[in-house]
Amino acid sequence: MTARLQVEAIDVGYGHVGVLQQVSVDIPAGSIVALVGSNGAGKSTLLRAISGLLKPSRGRIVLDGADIAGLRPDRIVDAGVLHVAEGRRLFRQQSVADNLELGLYGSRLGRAGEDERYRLVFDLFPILGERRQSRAGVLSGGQQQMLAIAQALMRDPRVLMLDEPSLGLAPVIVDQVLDVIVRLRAAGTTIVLVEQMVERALEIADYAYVLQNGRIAGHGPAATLAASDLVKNAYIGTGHS
Amino acid sequence: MSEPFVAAPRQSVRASGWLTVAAAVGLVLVFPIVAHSDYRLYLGTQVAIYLLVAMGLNLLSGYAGQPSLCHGALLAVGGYVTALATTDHGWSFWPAALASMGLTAAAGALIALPAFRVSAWYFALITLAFADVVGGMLVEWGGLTHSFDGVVGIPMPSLLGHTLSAGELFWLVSAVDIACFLMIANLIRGRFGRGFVALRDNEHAARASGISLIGLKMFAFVVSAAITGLAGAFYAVQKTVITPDDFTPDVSIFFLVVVVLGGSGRLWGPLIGTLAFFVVPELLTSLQSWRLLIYGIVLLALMLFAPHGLEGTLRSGWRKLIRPRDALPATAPQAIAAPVGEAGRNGMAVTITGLVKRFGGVTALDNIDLQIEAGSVHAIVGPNGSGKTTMLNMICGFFKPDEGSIRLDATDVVGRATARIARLGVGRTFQTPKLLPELTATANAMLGAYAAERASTVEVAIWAPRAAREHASLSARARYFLGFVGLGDRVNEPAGELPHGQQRLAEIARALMGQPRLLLLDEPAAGLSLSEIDRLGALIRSIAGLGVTVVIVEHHLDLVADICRRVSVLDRGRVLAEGTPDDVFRDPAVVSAYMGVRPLTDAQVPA
Repeated sequence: MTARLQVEAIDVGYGHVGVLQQVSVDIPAGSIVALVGSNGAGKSTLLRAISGLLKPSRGRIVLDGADIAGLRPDRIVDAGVLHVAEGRRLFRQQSVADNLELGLYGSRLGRAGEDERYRLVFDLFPILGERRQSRAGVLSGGQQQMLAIAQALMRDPRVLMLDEPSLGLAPVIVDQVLDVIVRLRAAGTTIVLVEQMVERALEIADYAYVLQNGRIAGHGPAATLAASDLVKNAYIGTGHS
Repeated sequence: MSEPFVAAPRQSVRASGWLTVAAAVGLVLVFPIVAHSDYRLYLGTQVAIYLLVAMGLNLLSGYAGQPSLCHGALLAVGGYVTALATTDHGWSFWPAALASMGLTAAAGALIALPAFRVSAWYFALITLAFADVVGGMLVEWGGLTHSFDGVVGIPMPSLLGHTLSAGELFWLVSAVDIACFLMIANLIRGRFGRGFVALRDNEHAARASGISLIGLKMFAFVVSAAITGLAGAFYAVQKTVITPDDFTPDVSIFFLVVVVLGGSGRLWGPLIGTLAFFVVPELLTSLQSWRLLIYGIVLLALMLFAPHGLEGTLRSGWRKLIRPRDALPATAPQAIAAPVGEAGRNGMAVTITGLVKRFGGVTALDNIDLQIEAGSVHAIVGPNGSGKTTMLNMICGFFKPDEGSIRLDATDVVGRATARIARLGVGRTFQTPKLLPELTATANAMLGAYAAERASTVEVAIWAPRAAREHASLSARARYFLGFVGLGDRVNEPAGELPHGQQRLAEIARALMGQPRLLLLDEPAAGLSLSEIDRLGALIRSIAGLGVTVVIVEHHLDLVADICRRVSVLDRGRVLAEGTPDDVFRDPAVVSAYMGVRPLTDAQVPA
C-alpha cells in the first residue's frame, strides 16, 4: 500500500511569524524524497504541517487525491501518514514491547495483522526483538532511533516522515538506519527524509527539495542536486556570522 | 571573532518602569480620599494584604517551582505573633511585625527542609500537612492562642504617638506592596530570578552552572515566608480580631489559585490574580446565592482557556493589538566592547584512573584510565551506549563513581557536588540542550555566570549600583559570547524558540560565561548542518586558543579529526584505542566496532 503526497503552496506560521511561504512539494508513491536546508529553514515545520501538528494558513496537502490539510493529527495518522519526530520521542519508562504496542494505538489491523507488523518490525530490527522487555530509556541511542522508527511502522504507514534519523548516532549505526530506509522503500513505503547529513541523504534519495528561509529554493533528482551548487548555497546563504 | 557586537539600549524600558511605579503611587495616594466609604477602604487594605501574600507565594511557587499549600498557615503564624505580642505582651506594632517576619521565616525554613529530598508533588502534600498542624495548634494550644476565642482588641500601629487611621494603614500596606514588588522585580531580574527558573525548569542545568540547589531553595522559602509573615502582621491589626477560623486550609488553597490563575511565575500575576479573585466576587455580592456558582464557572473557564493565567492571556491579547511582531527597535544600536581578560587562561588537566561505574547489574564504565592534557582538545568517541556521556557525567559530578579517581589538576573531585565542581571552572553542555525555554538567550547565557556574581542579596534587591553594574557587564558579556558562538542576532529571543542546533550553541555560550578552564561538550555537532559544523570547529578551536581544555564527545569524525589532538575510543565501557585521530581512525578494531565501512578519506585526516 503506497501513496503519493503532494503539498501545494502552503503557508505555515507560529503565531505572527511566518515560517513557510508558498511551499510546494511532490512526493511520488514509493520514493524517498529528501528535504535539505540549514537549521531554521523550515524543514521540521513542513513535517509538522503535514502531520497536522501545525495548521497551514493557506494551501493544500493532498494524499492520493484527498486533501488532509487541517485534519487532526490522529486522523492524519489514520490516513497512513506517520511522523518520526527529531530526538527519539519514546516512552522511556515503558518497555520496547509496550512502545511498539502503543504504536498500534487506534489501528484496526486485527490480531493477525498486528502479529504481522511485529514480525516485520523484528525482522527489520532484530535487536528490538532481543530487547523487547528492556525499558526504552536504557537502550543505546541507535536502538532508540530504531524503536522510534519501528513504532511508526506498526501502523503500516503509507507515507513515513523521518526527522533527522541520524541525530547523535555512531557512523556505523547511521549506515544501518539508512539501510533500513532503503529497504522500506523497496517494500513500497513512501518516505520523506529530513537529514543534516546531506550527502548521505542524497545518496539514498530519489529526489530532493532544498528549503531556504521558509521557501523552496530548488529541487531536482537527488544525484543532480548532489553535484550542483544549489545545496551548498542554501546553507551558506542563511548562515550567521 | 572580535567583531563588535551590537545591542539596543534599554533606557526606554527603565523609563516605562518608573512611570508605572509613579502611577501606582498616585493611585494608592488618592484611593482613601476617593473611596468615600470605610467599607471600600477596608476592602482596599485587605486586597493590599492579600497581594503581599500572593507576591510571596508567586516567588516560591511561580518562579522557584515549589508549590506551597501552606501560605494561609504562614499568614496565621505572622498574624498571631503580632496579635499576641501587641495584646498579651504589650509590644508596639513595629517590633512585633519584625518578630512576625522572623518567626514566619523560621517556619518557612523548617518546611523547606523536606523540599531538598522530595519532588514537587510530595512537597505540596507536606505543606498541606504543615497547614493542618498549624490550624490544629491554633485551637489546641489554648494557653498561648486563646483557642477558639482568638485574639481580640489588636491595636492599630502608632508612630511617634500618633495612631494610624484606616487610610494611613492602607497607605502603609500599599507602600510595603510597592516596595515588595520592586524588590521581587529586582531579585527576578538578577541572578536569583535565573536561578529560581533553573530550579523550576531544569535542575541539571542549574547544578552544572554552579548553583547550590539547597541554598537557593532555602532562600526562596525564607524570603517568601518573611513576606507572608509581614502580611500576617498587617492582617492582625486590620482585622483587630483574629481567630482560628480566619485561617482554614481553604485560605492556603485560595492563595495558590490566585497565583496560578493570575499568572504563575509572572511579575504582574499576583496583582491581576488578587484583583480578579478577591475584588470581583465582592462586586458580585448583590447576586448573593449565584455568586459562588458564577465564581466556580469563571475558575473552570479560566483553567480551560487561559493556561498561562490571566496575565499571560492579557499579555498575548495586548501583543496582538499593538505590536506587529517583526517591528524592529527604532533606537540606534550601540556597540559593546569585547570582555577583557578572556585570553591566557590555564586549562585544566584531567587524570582518570581505574574508574568503574555500574548501573544495577550493568557495568557502564569498566576500569577506565584516561589522561587529558591541559589545554588540549580531546575527543571521546565510540558506539552509542559505550559510556561516553556517563564519563562526562562523572567528571562534572552528576554521578559518583563506584571505584577509581578523577583528578582535575591535582584536586580529587570524586564525591564533590556538581555545583562545587562547576565552580572550580568546569563548564558543560548536554546532548539534549538544557536551556530555560522561557528566558531569553541572553538570560540563559547569564545563568552560566551565576557562581561568579558578587553583588549581595540586599544589593540585588534594591538594585544598588554594584548590582546594576554587574548586571550590565554580565549582560554585555553574555551578548558577546552569544555573538562569539554565532547567535548575535538572536540574543533577545526566548531560548525555547531557537532551532535545536542553535540551542546547542547557546549552551556553549552559557558554559563560557562561567569562565571555564575545562569545557565538556556532549555531541555539540548533532543536528547541525555541514556549514554549521565547520563554524563549530572554528569556534572550538578559538575556545581552545583561550587556553581552555576541551573534552568533546562527538560522532562527526571529520570534525574530531579536524580539531582534536587526541582521541579516545570507548567500546562497552572500556578504552578500545587511544592516540592521534590519524592513528585511531585507521585502527581496524575501531573501524569495525564504530566507524563501519566508510572510513574517512585521506584528505579529512590531518597527517
